[in-house]
Amino acid sequence: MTIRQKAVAGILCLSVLTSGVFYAAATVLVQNQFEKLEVRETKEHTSLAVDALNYLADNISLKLTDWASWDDTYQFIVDKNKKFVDSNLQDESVANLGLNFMLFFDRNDRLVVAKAVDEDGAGFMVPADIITSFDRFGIYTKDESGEKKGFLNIDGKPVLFAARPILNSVSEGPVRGTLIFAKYFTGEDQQKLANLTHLDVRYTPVQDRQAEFKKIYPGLNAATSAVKYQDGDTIIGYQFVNDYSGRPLFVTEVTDQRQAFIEAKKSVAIFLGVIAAVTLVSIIVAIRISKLVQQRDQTIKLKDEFFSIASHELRTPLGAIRGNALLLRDMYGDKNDQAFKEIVSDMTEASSRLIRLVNNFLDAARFEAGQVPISPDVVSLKSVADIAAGELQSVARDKNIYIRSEIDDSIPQVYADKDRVLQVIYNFVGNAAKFTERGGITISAAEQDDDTVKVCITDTGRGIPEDARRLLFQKFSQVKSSDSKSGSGLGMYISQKIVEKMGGRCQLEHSEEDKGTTISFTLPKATAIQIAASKK
Amino acid sequence: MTKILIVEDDPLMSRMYQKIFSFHNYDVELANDGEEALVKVADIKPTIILLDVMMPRMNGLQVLERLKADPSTSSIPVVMLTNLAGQQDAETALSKGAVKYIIKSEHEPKEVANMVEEIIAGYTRNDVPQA
Repeated sequence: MTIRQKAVAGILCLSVLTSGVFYAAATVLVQNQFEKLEVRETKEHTSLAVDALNYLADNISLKLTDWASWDDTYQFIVDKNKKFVDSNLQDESVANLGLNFMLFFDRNDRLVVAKAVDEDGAGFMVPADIITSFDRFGIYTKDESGEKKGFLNIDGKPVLFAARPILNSVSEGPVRGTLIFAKYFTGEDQQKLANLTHLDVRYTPVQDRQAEFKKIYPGLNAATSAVKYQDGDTIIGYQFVNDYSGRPLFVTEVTDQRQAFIEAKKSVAIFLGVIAAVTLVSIIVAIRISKLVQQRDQTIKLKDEFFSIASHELRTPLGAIRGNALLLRDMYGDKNDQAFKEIVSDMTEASSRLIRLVNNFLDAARFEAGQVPISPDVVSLKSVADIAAGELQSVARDKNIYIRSEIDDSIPQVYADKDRVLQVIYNFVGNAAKFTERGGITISAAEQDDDTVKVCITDTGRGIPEDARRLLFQKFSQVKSSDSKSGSGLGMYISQKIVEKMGGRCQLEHSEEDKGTTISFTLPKATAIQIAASKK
Repeated sequence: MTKILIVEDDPLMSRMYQKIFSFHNYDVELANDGEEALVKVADIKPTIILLDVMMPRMNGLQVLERLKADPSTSSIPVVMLTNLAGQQDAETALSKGAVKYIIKSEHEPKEVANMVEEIIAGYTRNDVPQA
């Protein structure tokens, strides 16, 4: 899997996980907290809806009070005078009261007069069986304080009624009969109640579907309200409303929107949306970053290729120049031709210098990129120093100074990269030579206490000024020298890096104006194991 | 005269080595690539072979394998020539029967000639196919 795919997959997983965890937590929370609230609220609403029915009944009862405690009625019950009927019991009067039935019963529960009006306000003959229905319910009020109200189931139709004892205008007895006002419970009434309570309420007649309703609504009863969740968004409260004889007449259904729940779901949805958006953004960012990483890797790869091509393509012809110059010396150099010898020597030196320069640049670039090839082995400092001194004799001759090695076999072997050590010595000596006009440069070494060997390059030159000392190992810094040949300014920098990579340290030991300078580097001593391994 | 076969695809290098070995009195044969090398080995039966690691078409390792697989050539000492980039392959070559590897940029022609002398001197103790 590429970095990009890994990153995207990782982000997606994290996102899904976070969403899942949050959703689960939110759901659990919502479930616990909000549910309690909702249930309580809907139960309250249902009770309210049920109580609202009482309000209707109370309405009727209120109207009834005027008529039941009235001298005229009190009188009429006894003398059954026609005047009463004509003035008070017109169809409009009944309709205006919003009633369907008015029934006057005497003290012996015998019907004196009955009036019926339909929903259009037209009178009709009260059928005998309706009267017997009323009779069946036994709602006569026998004592003065009696008031009965509620619902009746007359031929399957719900009827709202109120019954009061017939008394005189000052509500004094004895009770002369019962006055009953009643009306059909209509859709209009339902609407009125819905408006009144501001609830989404339905009063559904039970009729003979009690068992069916009980199945649909678990826990349905007349005493208390019960609730159930209809779907994700609604919760329904329900309760039986019994008629006057205690049989379920209605199912009161209150439908509540699960407002809090809906709000909570909205919040969850918003949050999930935010997570999705963040995920999307993260993925885009991840893809961008992975592109950058890809580009960077590509750049590194290109650099690598450049290094290896540059290495090979630069060094090969340089090597050929130097090699051929040396061939000239070897094959034709025994002729005692001084000019010839110098020409060859200069060609060799120039190409060597160029090779070293190329190596320095490539090394410095590789150090920047973090690639430093060091292949350490057990190395004899004596042989390395001898090689270096030998190579540098042309430099010594040019400047009329000596360059010599004082390292002998008593110096223990070190564990380092031989070519790199050579490179470092060349750089240090080359640097010292720039500032040395007389005397010379000595390469020496001494074993240290901490299992290292310290190599010192000591010159008798003009010394390094105070302010230049810090810059000694910096990149590209050069102290002005008398030499026409300068250099890349990289040699000391690279040397320090190489020494550090091999586990050592570079140090300016001391420098005195016009007396000389000593610069040192340390290398780890080769252990017995390493020495034994190298002999294989 | 000791015969040396130098297998090197870069003419700059091969001419340089040719000169130094001629100067040291070797009978020098050059081969430009692996195929030519195998043909010439059969032809002249050299005392020692200098084999460049990085060559197009057939590289030094493959040539070495062929040389060592053929009983008539397997006893000829082979010295691998390489640059720094090919050092890994050169190490592998040692395990495949090469006697030594020389990093071209690190040694003057004279040093290379000396190293080859030492190897041959070491081998003359044993039987080495002579011209």
